[in-house]
Amino acid sequence: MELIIVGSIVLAAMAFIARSAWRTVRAARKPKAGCGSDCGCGH
Amino acid sequence: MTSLQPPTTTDAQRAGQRSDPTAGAHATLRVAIIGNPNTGKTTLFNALTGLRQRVGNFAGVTVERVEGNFRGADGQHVTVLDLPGSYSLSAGSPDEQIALDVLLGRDKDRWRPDVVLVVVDAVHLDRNLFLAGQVIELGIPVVVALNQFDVAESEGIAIDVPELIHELGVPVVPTVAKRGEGIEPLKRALFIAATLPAPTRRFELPALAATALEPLRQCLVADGLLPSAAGMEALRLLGMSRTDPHLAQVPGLAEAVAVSSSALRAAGLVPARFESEMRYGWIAEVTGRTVTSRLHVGRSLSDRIDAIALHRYYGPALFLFVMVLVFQSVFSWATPLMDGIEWMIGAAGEAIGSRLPEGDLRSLVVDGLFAGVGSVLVFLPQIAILFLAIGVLEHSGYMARAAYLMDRVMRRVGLHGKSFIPMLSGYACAVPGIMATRTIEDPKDRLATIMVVPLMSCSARLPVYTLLIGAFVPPIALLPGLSLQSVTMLIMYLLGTVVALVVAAIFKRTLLKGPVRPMILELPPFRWPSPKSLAVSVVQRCELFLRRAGTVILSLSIVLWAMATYPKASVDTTQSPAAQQEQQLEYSVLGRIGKGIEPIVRPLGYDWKIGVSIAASFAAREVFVSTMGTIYGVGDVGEGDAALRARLVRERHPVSGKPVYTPLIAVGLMVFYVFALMCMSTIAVTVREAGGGRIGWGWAALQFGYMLGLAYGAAWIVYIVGKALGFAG
Repeated sequence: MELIIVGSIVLAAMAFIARSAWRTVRAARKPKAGCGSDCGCGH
Repeated sequence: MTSLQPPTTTDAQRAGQRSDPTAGAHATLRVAIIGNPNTGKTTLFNALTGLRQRVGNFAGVTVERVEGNFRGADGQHVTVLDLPGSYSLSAGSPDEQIALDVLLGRDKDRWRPDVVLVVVDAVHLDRNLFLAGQVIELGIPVVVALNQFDVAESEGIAIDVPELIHELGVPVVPTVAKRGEGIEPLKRALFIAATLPAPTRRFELPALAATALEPLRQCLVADGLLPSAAGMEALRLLGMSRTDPHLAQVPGLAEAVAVSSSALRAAGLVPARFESEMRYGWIAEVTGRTVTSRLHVGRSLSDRIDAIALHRYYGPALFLFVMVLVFQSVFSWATPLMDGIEWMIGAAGEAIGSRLPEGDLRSLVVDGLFAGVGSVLVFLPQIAILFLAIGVLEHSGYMARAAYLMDRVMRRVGLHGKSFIPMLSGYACAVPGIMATRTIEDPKDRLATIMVVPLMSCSARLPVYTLLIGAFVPPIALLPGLSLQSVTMLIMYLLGTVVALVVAAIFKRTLLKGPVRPMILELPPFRWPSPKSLAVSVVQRCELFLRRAGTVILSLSIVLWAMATYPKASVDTTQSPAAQQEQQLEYSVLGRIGKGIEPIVRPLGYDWKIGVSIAASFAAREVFVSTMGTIYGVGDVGEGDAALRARLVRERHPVSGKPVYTPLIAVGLMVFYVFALMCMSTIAVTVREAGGGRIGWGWAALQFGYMLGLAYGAAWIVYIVGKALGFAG
């Protein structure tokens, strides 16, 4: 049970990182206003 | 001050000839805000929409379109678009081009506004009316906000608002955006303007000139512009260079410009100067009838401060003093707060950990979450103090002085003086710094600036510097109130700045060779920073830091914890607990990757743990700290102080027993972080701002490569030279 909980948390974290990385690459490919909410710059 | 009254509309109604058929036809009223730089557009935008966009007392804070909304008294929805500041619609720089494209309806991704709100600085009405005059001719209803009306009054400038409404033919509303004065009348004026006919040009062209311009105007109308907008665009194109991209896009336009220019010259007029002469002639008449100014006797307080702040010798000395003060305050003020947060995180980790049974879940919470994310969170007070200091410099107007002071240095480098403002913005974050390069007209200057902005030490480097300085640089007082720690921090910031200038000089003499252009910079008057604006900007930055810690850094900490925990090794139980933990760490995925990286980082004096922390921080620099926190959290057997700084100081090499981290290693690591580009967001924005596609990726790859090479080379030199000088490596 503990392994399932830990595994789920780790998988969720990996999915979040993959999504952030994909969004960053997509932002570079497609010009748009602003740099996205998750870049940390406040714009 | 004069009470801020709603505008009368009689003159505006009288002025218009035709209305935009789209105006008022939407359920939502669409308003675009435009104005000269530093007139308070964004402050007005924030006052209208209740948003908290970044503001500052220098030109070029807004470099892109930002949207917000509000509802009118009758509940009607209004969308407001804040455009970058422009002195005219001549579109010399990319940020001015954005504004022009929106107003002319050329921006495919953005709606054309129903009403344009032109923000003019009441103190400098003559200069601001150039842009207002151009916008009035676009065929879109216009409202003029006469902002900073209080400052104009305090400087003895009286403006006859009803007469100005009559002269401009549009509603004019006096406002003091920073105090929210005049906002309700302004909102009402926007609704009224939407129902009025669009205004038209307020001066007559000489008959010969009107005839000469007719072929050009017809060509623009045929291309889809409204007749009034075509008149403005025809005047504008006459003053543009032959390289204006729009000239090539419309068939026959370049020829029409040439024909009209020839006809103007034949009439004894100079095409390039024609628009300026006509508009400034009109502005002189308008201000002559509407503005009365008492003569100033003596210099203002701002002038007296400038006598020192811009002095050839005192100015740079004052700049250095301000920087020392900033870094000293970052260290001395933040320490008690940092200690408090560190204690709270430790206590919370212990309390939660003690309630969980021994096992992987407990380790994930204590070693992954609290040790990883907690080690980054302790730097919140320093982030807050740094942004408070940056906010004071921006809001007071000192930032523009710093750019002026640096102009001579920038010229030697080959860059435009304007480049220093994006570089200064880079101290906060490279992403807005790179976007701020949009204010630079010359593409080569702009690209050279983009390439060096990430060398400026951003706030993400602060946790790395603070961790290493706090652990390895003794808090010796060099002078009363000045410690060795803050001087070390200042040196790291200066190192990045100096190398950025050197690299820019190399780019400007090789790949991006071009002439050095003179800088024209508007120096805003010094102002007391508004406590509310300062508080808003500091809170926003802290929120962003916490959000980043709670999302990206949290996720990476969890993944790195898993990599440091699995697979499980069958450890030798006869060994000490510390040796068992070390054996498990080395057997884990993270340990194996670290051991693989170790030969690359060994010449710099680093072990595998530092190597893997550097590798992880390519996602975001702060991850170096959280990875160290996780590695030492997983490897911790509970001896002594659990704080990361203390753990680093007492870490010993398992074989030699020598300290793993020495002051020399710490300095080398900081130098590595000064130069290395470890930020995915920065790479993405470089790709986009350098032109996108292959060209953008090419420049981003060059930026990443040269910075990594510089980081590795500089850290290696520090290590070799330090060892040669007898420092322990």
